[in-house]
Amino acid sequence: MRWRIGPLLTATALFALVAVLAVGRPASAHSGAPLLILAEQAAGPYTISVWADPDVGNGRLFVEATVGGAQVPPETTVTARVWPDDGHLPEATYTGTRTSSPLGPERFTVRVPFDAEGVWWVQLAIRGPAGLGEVTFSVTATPAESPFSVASLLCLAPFAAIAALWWWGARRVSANPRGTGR
Amino acid sequence: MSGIRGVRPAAEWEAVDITAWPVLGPLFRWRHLRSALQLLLLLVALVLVWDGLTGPQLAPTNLATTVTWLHYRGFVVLALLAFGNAFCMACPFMWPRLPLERLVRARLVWPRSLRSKWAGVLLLAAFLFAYELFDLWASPRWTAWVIVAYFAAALTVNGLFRGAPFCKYLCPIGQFNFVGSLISPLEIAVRDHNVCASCTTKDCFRGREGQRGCELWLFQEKKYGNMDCTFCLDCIHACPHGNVGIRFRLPGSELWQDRLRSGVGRLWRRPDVGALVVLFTFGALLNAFGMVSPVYALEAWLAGLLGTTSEWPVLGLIFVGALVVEPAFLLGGAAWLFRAWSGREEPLIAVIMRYVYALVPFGMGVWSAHYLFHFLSGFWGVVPVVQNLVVELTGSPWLGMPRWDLGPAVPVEWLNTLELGFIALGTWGSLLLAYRLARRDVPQAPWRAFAPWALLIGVLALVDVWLMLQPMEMRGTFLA
Repeated sequence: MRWRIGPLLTATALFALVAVLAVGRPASAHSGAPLLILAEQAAGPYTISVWADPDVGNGRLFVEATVGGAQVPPETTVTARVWPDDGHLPEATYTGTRTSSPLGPERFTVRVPFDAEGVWWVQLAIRGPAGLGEVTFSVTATPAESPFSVASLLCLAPFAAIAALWWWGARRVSANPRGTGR
Repeated sequence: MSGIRGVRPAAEWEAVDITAWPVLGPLFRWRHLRSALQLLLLLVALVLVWDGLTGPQLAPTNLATTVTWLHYRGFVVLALLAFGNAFCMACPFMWPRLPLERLVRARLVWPRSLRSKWAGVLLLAAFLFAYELFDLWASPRWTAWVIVAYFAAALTVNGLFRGAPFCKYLCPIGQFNFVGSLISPLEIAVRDHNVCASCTTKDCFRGREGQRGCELWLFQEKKYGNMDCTFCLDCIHACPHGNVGIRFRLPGSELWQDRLRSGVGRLWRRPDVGALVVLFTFGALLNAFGMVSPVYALEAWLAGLLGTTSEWPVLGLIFVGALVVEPAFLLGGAAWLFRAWSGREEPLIAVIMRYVYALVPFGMGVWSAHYLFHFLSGFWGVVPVVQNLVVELTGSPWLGMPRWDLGPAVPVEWLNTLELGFIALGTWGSLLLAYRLARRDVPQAPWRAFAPWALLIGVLALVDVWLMLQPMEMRGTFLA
């Protein structure tokens, strides 16, 4: 039997692409790095910055706090009192864990299992030897899975058009070997 | 419409010269266009340096980090994809040389031993390494110092040496732009080769009173493609016959044949340019890999293996693996399969130096997907930064209180799809190029010659799609 490598390659490539798309799943539904919610805002004696990964079911708040430009003392704790704007759940309190990273400063991570999309209120409290600092803000929880909506697939249309043009152009130029200019 | 005469164009689009169009034509022929663009970017650069050194040191709240790492890089790839090497054209680092050269004339000649891309390759690799090691994206102060260092280096080298050796041989951004522009849709080219044949002054190269010729030593009559062209427009202004224009061409078509290029030579015989393309392509994957969670697991594992708590040896090992070992293995393997399946007898290195250029569209696709993801997802982030700056400077919210919730320029659910689109388009372009090369090499059985390269490009594309689907780490948001 004659070995037809073209169709074989195409089928293999398509299978591999489908497999990667089926197996791989984005872990951050809002696509990308956490959102900056508060930037270097005063909260009692602390200066805090807050980022949010507000995915339904697996939300995270990242808190970076300093006192007078220095890291907060080790005894410092962060808690978040969270309640939905529409009141469908009573408020709940979550405690942050302190982590240090070789690639950045120490931060507190508070895991908040938002159960639904929409606006949620967060009252963040920082307690420690330096005193108490509180700040309240809202975040909008987003669906946990959002990568490829049908509507977003329309974004691929221009790419497909350019790919077709590119292919057509390559055939056109190859039909004219004296071409590509000079 | 003005045509390219003297040699028949391959297709009608190659006869389109945008310097003959209304509005755009006079704009590109305006002698001060480049200076105006440079001055504009110079002012932006000065603001970035000032804010980077004196402003808040939280990356998303500082202009130095947001504009440099989100907006500038996004505009660079957009310009390369839609136009050409626009950001070398508007390079602010070169503008201060204009008043300086009236005082001091460059007299030294760039050493012959350094007239290659090797130094540029090393500097670009060093830049990518420093970007990861020092978390440049997260440090306004370091970002500002990088900009200052760039001005100092460009001024010193181009101020002391004749021509523009910093641009041609050293500048990491320039080398990136040169490779990216190989698949740009526009190229600076002569309009009528008959005019060049009868020209006795060659002002496009030598320059004339009050007007520089090409400082990158590209002689228009023999120039081919975009490699080393900074789109400075000097040749357009210098030509006394108005015979140089900006024309359309098929993106990447300059890579499937090895013409002798003025100021460059033959690409397929330039290992330094080949190495630059390898760095461009595999560096794109490495840069994307540096953003996702698995890199931290790999770093921790390597650190344990090496028994170190220092980041640089771990990062160095990852860089050597990704930029030297991996390309050598993959390209060597594809070249070996190419020889085995096509039956051609030639050194592996010769095969690699020909087919490596097929990876340029894929590399550009990866860079575009990556940079435009950040560009689009953080586009409006500059608004609260400026609002915050105004509050800090004046004490009053003249532009409103900072809206830190602003960000994406497109619906967030589009972002992954757009990323996939750029990766797919780059992959497609690489497959087209590889097939063209295969058909040229083995016309009787092109699929056999094409298969190894299609396999390689397919594997790289799948790796990039996998990277795209990984959770992104907190980089770019925390202060280093």
